[in-house]
Amino acid sequence: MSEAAANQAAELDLGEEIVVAEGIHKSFNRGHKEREIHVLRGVDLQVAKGEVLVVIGPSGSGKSTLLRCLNFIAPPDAGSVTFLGHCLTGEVPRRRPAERMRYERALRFYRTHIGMVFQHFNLFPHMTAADNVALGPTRALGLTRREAKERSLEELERVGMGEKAGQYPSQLSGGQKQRVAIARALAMRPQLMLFDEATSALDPELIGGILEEMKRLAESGMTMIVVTHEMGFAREVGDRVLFMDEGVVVEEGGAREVIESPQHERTQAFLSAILS
Amino acid sequence: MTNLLAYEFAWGPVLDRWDLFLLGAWLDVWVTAISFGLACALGIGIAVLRLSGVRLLSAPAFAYVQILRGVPLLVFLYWVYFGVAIVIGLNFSPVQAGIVALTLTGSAYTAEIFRGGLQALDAGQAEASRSLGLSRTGTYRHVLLPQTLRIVIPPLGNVFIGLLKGATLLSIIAVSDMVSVANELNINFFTPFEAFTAVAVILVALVAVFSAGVTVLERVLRLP
Ligand SMILES: Nc1ncnc2c1ncn2[C@@H]1O[C@H](COP(=O)(O)OP(=O)(O)OP(=O)(O)O)[C@@H](O)[C@H]1O
Ligand SMILES: [Mg+2]
Repeated sequence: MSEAAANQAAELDLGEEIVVAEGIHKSFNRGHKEREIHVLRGVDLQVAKGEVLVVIGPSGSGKSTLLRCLNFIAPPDAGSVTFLGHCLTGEVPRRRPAERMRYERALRFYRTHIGMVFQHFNLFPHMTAADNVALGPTRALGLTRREAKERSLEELERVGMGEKAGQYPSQLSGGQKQRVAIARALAMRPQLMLFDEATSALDPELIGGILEEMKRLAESGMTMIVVTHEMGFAREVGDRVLFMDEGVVVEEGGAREVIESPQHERTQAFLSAILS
Repeated sequence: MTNLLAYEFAWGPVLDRWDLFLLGAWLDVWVTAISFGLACALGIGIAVLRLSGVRLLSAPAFAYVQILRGVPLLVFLYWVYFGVAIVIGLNFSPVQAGIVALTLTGSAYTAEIFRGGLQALDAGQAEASRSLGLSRTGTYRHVLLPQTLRIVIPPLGNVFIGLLKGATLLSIIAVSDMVSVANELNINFFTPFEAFTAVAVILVALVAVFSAGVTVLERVLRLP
Protein backbone atom coordinates (compact mmCIF):
# COMPACT_ATOMS: atom_id res chain seq x y z
CA MET A 1 0.00 0.00 0.00
CA SER A 2 1.28 3.49 -0.75
CA GLU A 3 1.80 5.99 2.03
CA ALA A 4 -1.15 8.07 0.91
CA ALA A 5 -3.41 5.01 0.84
CA ALA A 6 -2.26 3.97 4.28
CA ASN A 7 -2.93 7.42 5.63
CA GLN A 8 -6.36 7.32 4.10
CA ALA A 9 -7.14 3.90 5.54
CA ALA A 10 -6.21 5.25 8.94
CA GLU A 11 -8.45 8.25 8.58
CA LEU A 12 -11.42 6.28 7.36
CA ASP A 13 -11.72 4.60 10.76
CA LEU A 14 -12.67 1.18 9.49
CA GLY A 15 -12.63 -0.10 13.02
CA GLU A 16 -9.73 -2.21 12.00
CA GLU A 17 -6.53 -2.94 13.80
CA ILE A 18 -3.89 -0.24 13.65
CA VAL A 19 -1.12 -2.53 14.69
CA VAL A 20 -0.87 -6.31 14.81
CA ALA A 21 2.24 -8.11 16.02
CA GLU A 22 2.49 -11.83 15.46
CA GLY A 23 4.93 -14.34 16.87
CA ILE A 24 7.52 -11.79 17.97
CA HIS A 25 10.80 -13.30 19.12
CA LYS A 26 13.78 -11.30 20.23
CA SER A 27 17.12 -12.33 21.70
CA PHE A 28 20.07 -10.19 22.71
CA ASN A 29 23.70 -11.15 22.22
CA ARG A 30 22.80 -13.74 19.66
CA GLY A 31 25.56 -16.18 18.93
CA HIS A 32 27.35 -15.54 22.22
CA LYS A 33 26.54 -18.85 23.92
CA GLU A 34 26.83 -17.73 27.52
CA ARG A 35 25.41 -14.24 27.18
CA GLU A 36 22.57 -14.90 24.75
CA ILE A 37 19.21 -14.13 26.31
CA HIS A 38 15.88 -14.90 24.74
CA VAL A 39 13.78 -11.93 25.84
CA LEU A 40 10.60 -12.24 23.78
CA ARG A 41 9.32 -15.75 23.13
CA GLY A 42 6.49 -15.48 20.69
CA VAL A 43 4.38 -12.44 21.57
CA ASP A 44 1.16 -11.56 19.74
CA LEU A 45 -0.76 -8.36 20.17
CA GLN A 46 -3.25 -6.26 18.28
CA VAL A 47 -4.56 -2.77 18.93
CA ALA A 48 -7.60 -1.27 17.25
CA LYS A 49 -7.97 2.38 16.34
CA GLY A 50 -8.57 4.55 19.36
CA GLU A 51 -7.84 1.73 21.76
CA VAL A 52 -5.54 1.99 24.78
CA LEU A 53 -3.61 -1.20 25.50
CA VAL A 54 -1.81 -1.30 28.82
CA VAL A 55 1.15 -3.66 29.14
CA ILE A 56 2.14 -4.73 32.63
CA GLY A 57 4.62 -7.23 33.98
CA PRO A 58 7.64 -7.63 36.23
CA SER A 59 10.98 -5.98 35.54
CA GLY A 60 12.88 -7.77 32.82
CA SER A 61 9.82 -9.45 31.36
CA GLY A 62 10.45 -7.75 28.00
CA LYS A 63 7.94 -4.89 27.96
CA SER A 64 10.37 -2.27 26.70
CA THR A 65 11.80 -4.70 24.19
CA LEU A 66 8.31 -5.40 22.87
CA LEU A 67 7.65 -1.70 22.28
CA ARG A 68 11.03 -1.33 20.58
CA CYS A 69 10.20 -4.24 18.31
CA LEU A 70 7.03 -2.51 17.14
CA ASN A 71 8.92 0.41 15.57
CA PHE A 72 11.98 -1.69 14.76
CA ILE A 73 14.33 0.24 17.03
CA ALA A 74 15.14 -3.31 18.08
CA PRO A 75 14.16 -5.41 15.06
CA PRO A 76 12.51 -8.71 16.00
CA ASP A 77 14.38 -11.92 15.14
CA ALA A 78 11.15 -13.62 14.10
CA GLY A 79 7.54 -12.64 13.65
CA SER A 80 5.96 -9.69 11.91
CA VAL A 81 4.49 -6.31 12.69
CA THR A 82 1.58 -5.11 10.58
CA PHE A 83 0.96 -1.40 10.84
CA LEU A 84 -1.61 0.49 8.80
CA GLY A 85 -1.51 -2.00 5.99
CA HIS A 86 2.25 -2.48 5.84
CA CYS A 87 3.75 -5.73 7.04
CA LEU A 88 7.38 -5.90 8.11
CA THR A 89 9.61 -8.58 9.54
CA GLY A 90 12.98 -7.96 11.13
CA GLU A 91 14.71 -9.43 8.12
CA VAL A 92 16.34 -6.76 5.97
CA PRO A 93 16.50 -7.66 2.27
CA ARG A 94 20.20 -6.89 2.01
CA ARG A 95 20.93 -8.37 -1.38
CA ARG A 96 18.30 -6.69 -3.56
CA PRO A 97 18.70 -2.92 -3.71
CA ALA A 98 15.14 -2.24 -4.87
CA GLU A 99 13.62 -4.30 -2.08
CA ARG A 100 16.07 -2.81 0.36
CA MET A 101 14.84 0.64 -0.61
CA ARG A 102 11.25 -0.39 -0.18
CA TYR A 103 12.09 -1.85 3.23
CA GLU A 104 13.83 1.34 4.34
CA ARG A 105 10.86 3.39 3.18
CA ALA A 106 8.49 1.19 5.14
CA LEU A 107 10.71 1.51 8.21
CA ARG A 108 10.56 5.27 7.92
CA PHE A 109 6.80 5.05 7.56
CA TYR A 110 6.57 3.08 10.81
CA ARG A 111 8.83 5.41 12.70
CA THR A 112 7.29 8.64 11.51
CA HIS A 113 3.77 7.38 12.27
CA ILE A 114 4.53 5.75 15.61
CA GLY A 115 5.38 8.11 18.46
CA MET A 116 7.47 6.94 21.39
CA VAL A 117 7.86 8.35 24.89
CA PHE A 118 10.68 7.04 27.08
CA GLN A 119 11.14 6.53 30.78
CA HIS A 120 14.19 8.81 30.83
CA PHE A 121 12.73 11.34 28.36
CA ASN A 122 15.74 11.14 26.02
CA LEU A 123 15.47 14.79 25.10
CA PHE A 124 18.36 16.14 23.04
CA PRO A 125 20.36 18.21 25.53
CA HIS A 126 21.97 20.44 22.91
CA MET A 127 18.65 21.76 21.63
CA THR A 128 15.99 23.98 23.12
CA ALA A 129 12.59 22.47 23.85
CA ALA A 130 11.27 24.01 20.63
CA ASP A 131 14.12 22.56 18.56
CA ASN A 132 13.67 19.15 20.17
CA VAL A 133 10.08 19.15 18.99
CA ALA A 134 10.88 20.59 15.56
CA LEU A 135 13.67 18.13 14.70
CA GLY A 136 11.47 15.25 13.54
CA PRO A 137 9.11 17.40 11.46
CA THR A 138 12.04 19.08 9.64
CA ARG A 139 14.34 16.11 9.21
CA ALA A 140 11.89 13.24 8.80
CA LEU A 141 8.71 14.84 7.49
CA GLY A 142 10.35 17.49 5.33
CA LEU A 143 8.53 20.50 6.77
CA THR A 144 10.22 23.85 6.30
CA ARG A 145 11.94 25.38 9.28
CA ARG A 146 9.11 27.85 9.74
CA GLU A 147 6.32 25.26 9.49
CA ALA A 148 8.14 23.04 11.96
CA LYS A 149 8.68 25.92 14.35
CA GLU A 150 4.99 26.77 14.23
CA ARG A 151 3.97 23.18 14.80
CA SER A 152 6.50 22.86 17.60
CA LEU A 153 5.13 25.86 19.49
CA GLU A 154 1.61 24.61 18.94
CA GLU A 155 2.43 21.20 20.42
CA LEU A 156 4.35 22.71 23.33
CA GLU A 157 1.39 24.96 24.00
CA ARG A 158 -0.90 21.93 24.05
CA VAL A 159 1.09 20.26 26.84
CA GLY A 160 1.41 23.51 28.75
CA MET A 161 5.04 24.10 27.85
CA GLY A 162 4.59 27.13 25.58
CA GLU A 163 6.52 29.32 28.01
CA LYS A 164 9.46 26.95 28.09
CA ALA A 165 10.00 26.75 24.33
CA GLY A 166 13.37 28.48 24.53
CA GLN A 167 14.69 26.52 27.49
CA TYR A 168 17.22 23.70 27.29
CA PRO A 169 16.34 20.31 28.82
CA SER A 170 18.77 20.85 31.70
CA GLN A 171 16.69 23.87 32.72
CA LEU A 172 13.48 21.84 33.00
CA SER A 173 12.08 19.66 35.77
CA GLY A 174 11.42 15.98 35.12
CA GLY A 175 7.73 16.56 34.58
CA GLN A 176 8.42 19.41 32.18
CA LYS A 177 10.93 17.27 30.29
CA GLN A 178 8.37 14.54 29.85
CA ARG A 179 5.82 17.04 28.59
CA VAL A 180 8.29 18.25 26.00
CA ALA A 181 9.01 14.62 25.06
CA ILE A 182 5.30 14.01 24.57
CA ALA A 183 5.04 17.16 22.44
CA ARG A 184 8.02 15.95 20.41
CA ALA A 185 6.28 12.67 19.66
CA LEU A 186 2.93 14.32 18.91
CA ALA A 187 4.49 16.85 16.53
CA MET A 188 4.95 13.94 14.11
CA ARG A 189 1.13 13.55 14.09
CA PRO A 190 1.47 9.84 14.85
CA GLN A 191 -1.24 7.21 14.42
CA LEU A 192 0.01 5.23 17.40
CA MET A 193 1.75 6.29 20.58
CA LEU A 194 4.02 4.06 22.65
CA PHE A 195 4.65 5.02 26.28
CA ASP A 196 7.44 3.14 28.05
CA GLU A 197 7.05 3.76 31.78
CA ALA A 198 6.64 7.46 31.10
CA THR A 199 6.19 8.29 34.79
CA SER A 200 8.66 5.89 36.42
CA ALA A 201 11.51 8.39 36.62
CA LEU A 202 9.38 11.22 37.99
CA ASP A 203 9.07 12.57 41.50
CA PRO A 204 5.78 11.40 43.00
CA GLU A 205 4.18 14.83 42.91
CA LEU A 206 4.81 15.12 39.16
CA ILE A 207 3.37 11.74 38.15
CA GLY A 208 -0.25 12.83 38.25
CA GLY A 209 0.26 15.64 35.76
CA ILE A 210 1.80 13.37 33.15
CA LEU A 211 -0.86 10.69 33.65
CA GLU A 212 -3.44 13.43 33.20
CA GLU A 213 -1.76 14.42 29.92
CA MET A 214 -1.86 10.81 28.73
CA LYS A 215 -5.48 10.48 29.72
CA ARG A 216 -6.39 13.58 27.74
CA LEU A 217 -4.58 12.14 24.76
CA ALA A 218 -6.47 8.86 25.08
CA GLU A 219 -9.75 10.73 25.30
CA SER A 220 -8.91 12.61 22.13
CA GLY A 221 -8.97 9.26 20.36
CA MET A 222 -5.26 8.47 20.14
CA THR A 223 -4.36 4.80 19.80
CA MET A 224 -1.87 3.98 22.56
CA ILE A 225 0.22 1.18 23.98
CA VAL A 226 1.21 2.06 27.52
CA VAL A 227 3.74 0.22 29.64
CA THR A 228 3.15 1.30 33.22
CA HIS A 229 3.09 0.28 36.85
CA GLU A 230 0.28 2.75 37.58
CA MET A 231 -2.66 0.40 38.09
CA GLY A 232 -5.09 3.23 38.74
CA PHE A 233 -4.33 4.64 35.32
CA ALA A 234 -4.48 1.18 33.72
CA ARG A 235 -7.93 0.50 35.12
CA GLU A 236 -9.35 3.91 34.38
CA VAL A 237 -7.85 4.74 30.99
CA GLY A 238 -6.89 1.34 29.62
CA ASP A 239 -9.29 -0.59 27.42
CA ARG A 240 -7.36 -3.82 27.58
CA VAL A 241 -4.50 -5.08 29.71
CA LEU A 242 -1.79 -7.45 28.64
CA PHE A 243 0.27 -9.14 31.37
CA MET A 244 3.72 -10.30 30.34
CA ASP A 245 6.17 -12.50 32.17
CA GLU A 246 9.44 -13.97 30.94
CA GLY A 247 8.84 -12.94 27.38
CA VAL A 248 5.35 -14.34 26.88
CA VAL A 249 1.86 -12.96 27.24
CA VAL A 250 0.45 -14.70 30.29
CA GLU A 251 -2.93 -13.07 30.42
CA GLU A 252 -4.89 -10.61 28.35
CA GLY A 253 -8.31 -9.10 28.67
CA GLY A 254 -10.46 -6.09 29.54
CA ALA A 255 -8.56 -3.68 31.78
CA ARG A 256 -10.99 -3.88 34.67
CA GLU A 257 -11.34 -7.66 34.54
CA VAL A 258 -7.62 -8.40 34.46
CA ILE A 259 -6.76 -5.96 37.24
CA GLU A 260 -9.71 -6.72 39.50
CA SER A 261 -10.03 -10.44 38.94
CA PRO A 262 -6.90 -11.86 37.34
CA GLN A 263 -7.30 -15.46 36.24
CA HIS A 264 -3.72 -16.58 36.08
CA GLU A 265 -1.67 -17.31 39.15
CA ARG A 266 1.32 -15.27 37.99
CA THR A 267 -0.90 -12.27 37.26
CA GLN A 268 -2.41 -12.55 40.71
CA ALA A 269 1.00 -12.71 42.36
CA PHE A 270 2.28 -9.73 40.35
CA LEU A 271 -0.77 -7.58 41.04
CA SER A 272 -0.89 -8.32 44.73
CA ALA A 273 2.82 -7.48 44.99
CA ILE A 274 2.43 -4.21 43.13
CA LEU A 275 -0.79 -3.13 44.81
CA SER A 276 0.32 -3.83 48.35
CA MET B 1 81.34 24.66 34.19
CA THR B 2 83.55 27.58 33.39
CA ASN B 3 82.82 26.93 29.74
CA LEU B 4 79.13 27.33 30.32
CA LEU B 5 79.57 30.68 31.98
CA ALA B 6 82.07 31.77 29.42
CA TYR B 7 79.73 31.16 26.51
CA GLU B 8 78.54 34.34 24.95
CA PHE B 9 75.03 34.09 23.65
CA ALA B 10 74.65 35.33 20.12
CA TRP B 11 70.99 36.29 19.64
CA GLY B 12 71.79 38.74 16.87
CA PRO B 13 71.41 36.33 13.94
CA VAL B 14 68.12 35.07 15.32
CA LEU B 15 66.68 38.50 15.96
CA ASP B 16 67.81 39.68 12.54
CA ARG B 17 65.74 36.93 10.96
CA TRP B 18 62.60 37.17 13.07
CA ASP B 19 60.52 37.71 9.92
CA LEU B 20 61.83 34.44 8.41
CA PHE B 21 61.02 32.60 11.62
CA LEU B 22 57.50 33.95 11.65
CA LEU B 23 57.00 33.13 7.99
CA GLY B 24 58.16 29.57 8.69
CA ALA B 25 55.94 29.35 11.75
CA TRP B 26 52.97 30.51 9.69
CA LEU B 27 53.61 27.64 7.28
CA ASP B 28 53.70 25.18 10.19
CA VAL B 29 50.42 26.58 11.46
CA TRP B 30 48.43 26.34 8.26
CA VAL B 31 49.85 22.96 7.29
CA THR B 32 48.86 21.71 10.74
CA ALA B 33 45.42 23.31 10.52
CA ILE B 34 44.64 21.65 7.19
CA SER B 35 45.98 18.28 8.36
CA PHE B 36 44.01 18.54 11.58
CA GLY B 37 40.78 19.29 9.70
CA LEU B 38 41.32 16.32 7.41
CA ALA B 39 42.29 14.11 10.34
CA CYS B 40 39.04 15.03 12.11
CA ALA B 41 36.93 14.23 9.06
CA LEU B 42 38.74 10.94 8.56
CA GLY B 43 38.57 10.19 12.29
CA ILE B 44 34.80 10.68 12.41
CA GLY B 45 34.38 8.32 9.47
CA ILE B 46 36.57 5.66 11.04
CA ALA B 47 34.88 6.00 14.42
CA VAL B 48 31.46 5.58 12.80
CA LEU B 49 32.65 2.46 10.94
CA ARG B 50 34.18 1.15 14.16
CA LEU B 51 30.81 1.49 15.92
CA SER B 52 28.69 0.29 13.00
CA GLY B 53 28.20 -3.13 14.52
CA VAL B 54 29.04 -4.66 11.14
CA ARG B 55 32.17 -6.80 11.40
CA LEU B 56 33.15 -6.16 7.80
CA LEU B 57 33.39 -2.45 8.57
CA SER B 58 34.45 -2.34 12.20
CA ALA B 59 37.36 -4.79 11.89
CA PRO B 60 39.21 -2.78 9.21
CA ALA B 61 38.54 0.40 11.18
CA PHE B 62 40.06 -1.20 14.27
CA ALA B 63 43.09 -2.39 12.29
CA TYR B 64 43.53 1.09 10.77
CA VAL B 65 43.72 2.69 14.20
CA GLN B 66 46.01 0.03 15.66
CA ILE B 67 48.49 0.24 12.79
CA LEU B 68 48.53 3.98 12.23
CA ARG B 69 48.88 4.71 15.91
CA GLY B 70 52.09 2.69 15.96
CA VAL B 71 53.78 4.10 12.88
CA PRO B 72 55.96 7.16 13.68
CA LEU B 73 55.42 10.38 11.79
CA LEU B 74 58.98 10.21 10.56
CA VAL B 75 58.26 6.94 8.79
CA PHE B 76 55.10 8.38 7.22
CA LEU B 77 57.09 11.34 5.93
CA TYR B 78 59.63 9.08 4.23
CA TRP B 79 56.93 6.78 2.91
CA VAL B 80 54.78 9.49 1.47
CA TYR B 81 57.52 11.74 0.11
CA PHE B 82 60.08 9.23 -1.15
CA GLY B 83 58.38 5.86 -1.00
CA VAL B 84 55.20 6.65 -2.90
CA ALA B 85 57.16 8.33 -5.67
CA ILE B 86 59.32 5.25 -6.12
CA VAL B 87 56.60 2.64 -5.74
CA ILE B 88 53.74 4.11 -7.75
CA GLY B 89 55.38 7.11 -9.35
CA LEU B 90 53.08 9.62 -7.67
CA ASN B 91 55.04 12.74 -6.82
CA PHE B 92 53.93 14.88 -3.89
CA SER B 93 55.37 18.31 -3.23
CA PRO B 94 57.04 18.49 0.19
CA VAL B 95 54.11 20.40 1.67
CA GLN B 96 51.57 17.97 0.21
CA ALA B 97 53.53 15.02 1.54
CA GLY B 98 53.70 16.70 4.95
CA ILE B 99 49.94 17.23 5.00
CA VAL B 100 49.26 13.62 4.04
CA ALA B 101 51.64 12.29 6.69
CA LEU B 102 50.26 14.55 9.42
CA THR B 103 46.69 13.67 8.45
CA LEU B 104 47.36 9.93 8.62
CA THR B 105 49.07 10.22 11.98
CA GLY B 106 46.39 12.48 13.38
CA SER B 107 43.47 10.42 12.11
CA ALA B 108 44.37 7.43 14.26
CA TYR B 109 44.11 9.62 17.34
CA THR B 110 41.02 11.56 16.31
CA ALA B 111 39.26 8.28 15.43
CA GLU B 112 39.81 7.02 18.96
CA ILE B 113 38.70 10.31 20.45
CA PHE B 114 35.50 10.44 18.41
CA ARG B 115 34.77 6.80 19.20
CA GLY B 116 35.12 7.53 22.91
CA GLY B 117 32.91 10.60 22.57
CA LEU B 118 30.20 8.74 20.70
CA GLN B 119 30.26 5.87 23.16
CA ALA B 120 29.93 8.27 26.07
CA LEU B 121 26.48 9.30 24.84
CA ASP B 122 23.41 7.63 26.24
CA ALA B 123 22.03 4.98 23.88
CA GLY B 124 18.63 6.62 24.38
CA GLN B 125 19.76 9.57 22.26
CA ALA B 126 20.13 7.51 19.10
CA GLU B 127 16.95 5.61 19.97
CA ALA B 128 14.91 8.78 20.34
CA SER B 129 16.25 10.10 17.07
CA ARG B 130 15.58 6.91 15.13
CA SER B 131 12.10 6.72 16.66
CA LEU B 132 11.40 10.15 15.15
CA GLY B 133 12.19 8.70 11.74
CA LEU B 134 15.61 10.29 11.29
CA SER B 135 17.98 8.29 9.14
CA ARG B 136 21.27 6.93 10.42
CA THR B 137 23.09 9.85 8.82
CA GLY B 138 20.59 12.36 10.15
CA THR B 139 20.94 10.90 13.61
CA TYR B 140 24.72 11.29 13.52
CA ARG B 141 24.54 14.75 12.04
CA HIS B 142 21.85 16.34 14.16
CA VAL B 143 21.87 14.37 17.39
CA LEU B 144 25.07 12.43 18.06
CA LEU B 145 27.93 14.43 16.58
CA PRO B 146 26.90 17.84 17.98
CA GLN B 147 26.89 16.30 21.44
CA THR B 148 30.12 14.42 20.82
CA LEU B 149 31.85 17.58 19.63
CA ARG B 150 31.38 19.20 23.00
CA ILE B 151 32.96 16.22 24.73
CA VAL B 152 35.94 15.87 22.44
CA ILE B 153 37.15 19.46 22.17
CA PRO B 154 39.79 19.20 24.93
CA PRO B 155 41.36 15.94 23.68
CA LEU B 156 41.18 17.18 20.09
CA GLY B 157 43.06 20.28 21.20
CA ASN B 158 45.85 17.99 22.39
CA VAL B 159 45.95 16.28 19.01
CA PHE B 160 46.29 19.67 17.34
CA ILE B 161 49.20 20.58 19.58
CA GLY B 162 50.79 17.19 18.87
CA LEU B 163 50.48 17.74 15.13
CA LEU B 164 51.88 21.27 15.41
CA LYS B 165 54.95 19.90 17.11
CA GLY B 166 55.04 17.04 14.63
CA ALA B 167 55.15 19.61 11.84
CA THR B 168 58.64 20.55 12.98
CA LEU B 169 59.80 17.29 11.39
CA LEU B 170 58.70 18.48 7.97
CA SER B 171 62.02 20.20 7.33
CA ILE B 172 63.41 16.68 6.85
CA ILE B 173 61.59 16.47 3.54
CA ALA B 174 62.66 20.01 2.60
CA VAL B 175 59.58 21.92 3.71
CA SER B 176 60.80 25.44 4.43
CA ASP B 177 59.22 25.97 7.81
CA MET B 178 60.69 27.63 10.88
CA VAL B 179 62.87 24.63 11.67
CA SER B 180 64.55 24.94 8.30
CA VAL B 181 65.29 28.56 9.16
CA ALA B 182 66.84 27.43 12.43
CA ASN B 183 68.85 24.75 10.66
CA GLU B 184 70.28 27.25 8.25
CA LEU B 185 71.22 29.63 11.05
CA ASN B 186 72.87 26.81 12.88
CA ILE B 187 74.96 25.87 9.86
CA ASN B 188 76.00 29.43 9.06
CA PHE B 189 76.66 30.77 12.54
CA PHE B 190 76.96 27.61 14.63
CA THR B 191 74.43 28.85 17.20
CA PRO B 192 72.27 25.73 17.79
CA PHE B 193 71.10 26.87 21.20
CA GLU B 194 69.85 30.24 20.06
CA ALA B 195 68.40 29.01 16.78
CA PHE B 196 66.32 26.24 18.32
CA THR B 197 65.37 28.26 21.35
CA ALA B 198 63.68 30.57 18.88
CA VAL B 199 61.70 27.59 17.56
CA ALA B 200 60.75 26.58 21.10
CA VAL B 201 59.68 30.10 22.06
CA ILE B 202 57.49 30.40 19.00
CA LEU B 203 55.88 27.03 19.65
CA VAL B 204 55.24 27.75 23.32
CA ALA B 205 53.62 31.04 22.32
CA LEU B 206 51.51 29.36 19.62
CA VAL B 207 50.36 26.66 22.01
CA ALA B 208 49.41 29.29 24.60
CA VAL B 209 47.36 31.23 22.06
CA PHE B 210 45.77 28.06 20.76
CA SER B 211 44.83 26.86 24.25
CA ALA B 212 43.19 30.17 24.96
CA GLY B 213 41.21 29.75 21.74
CA VAL B 214 40.09 26.28 22.81
CA THR B 215 38.94 27.62 26.16
CA VAL B 216 36.89 30.31 24.44
CA LEU B 217 35.40 27.75 22.05
CA GLU B 218 34.46 25.51 24.96
CA ARG B 219 32.76 28.40 26.69
CA VAL B 220 30.84 29.37 23.56
CA LEU B 221 29.61 25.82 23.00
CA ARG B 222 28.80 25.10 26.64
CA LEU B 223 25.17 24.21 27.19
CA PRO B 224 23.13 25.84 29.89
N1 LIG C 1 20.29 -4.00 24.39
C1 LIG C 1 20.25 -5.06 25.22
N2 LIG C 1 21.28 -5.92 25.27
C2 LIG C 1 21.24 -6.99 26.08
N3 LIG C 1 20.22 -7.31 26.89
C3 LIG C 1 19.15 -6.50 26.88
C4 LIG C 1 19.11 -5.33 26.05
N4 LIG C 1 17.92 -4.71 26.25
C5 LIG C 1 17.27 -5.45 27.17
N5 LIG C 1 17.99 -6.52 27.55
C6 LIG C 1 17.57 -7.55 28.50
O1 LIG C 1 16.31 -8.02 28.10
C7 LIG C 1 15.51 -8.29 29.24
C8 LIG C 1 14.20 -7.58 29.09
O2 LIG C 1 14.44 -6.20 29.08
P1 LIG C 1 13.27 -5.13 28.99
O3 LIG C 1 13.92 -3.79 29.13
O4 LIG C 1 12.47 -5.37 27.78
O5 LIG C 1 12.38 -5.46 30.26
P2 LIG C 1 11.21 -4.62 30.89
O6 LIG C 1 10.06 -5.53 31.00
O7 LIG C 1 11.01 -3.36 30.15
O8 LIG C 1 11.75 -4.31 32.33
P3 LIG C 1 11.63 -2.98 33.23
O9 LIG C 1 10.30 -3.03 33.89
O10 LIG C 1 12.76 -3.11 34.19
O11 LIG C 1 11.79 -1.81 32.31
C9 LIG C 1 16.29 -7.87 30.45
O12 LIG C 1 16.84 -9.01 31.04
C10 LIG C 1 17.38 -6.99 29.89
O13 LIG C 1 18.55 -7.13 30.65
MG1 LIG D 1 11.36 -1.34 30.53
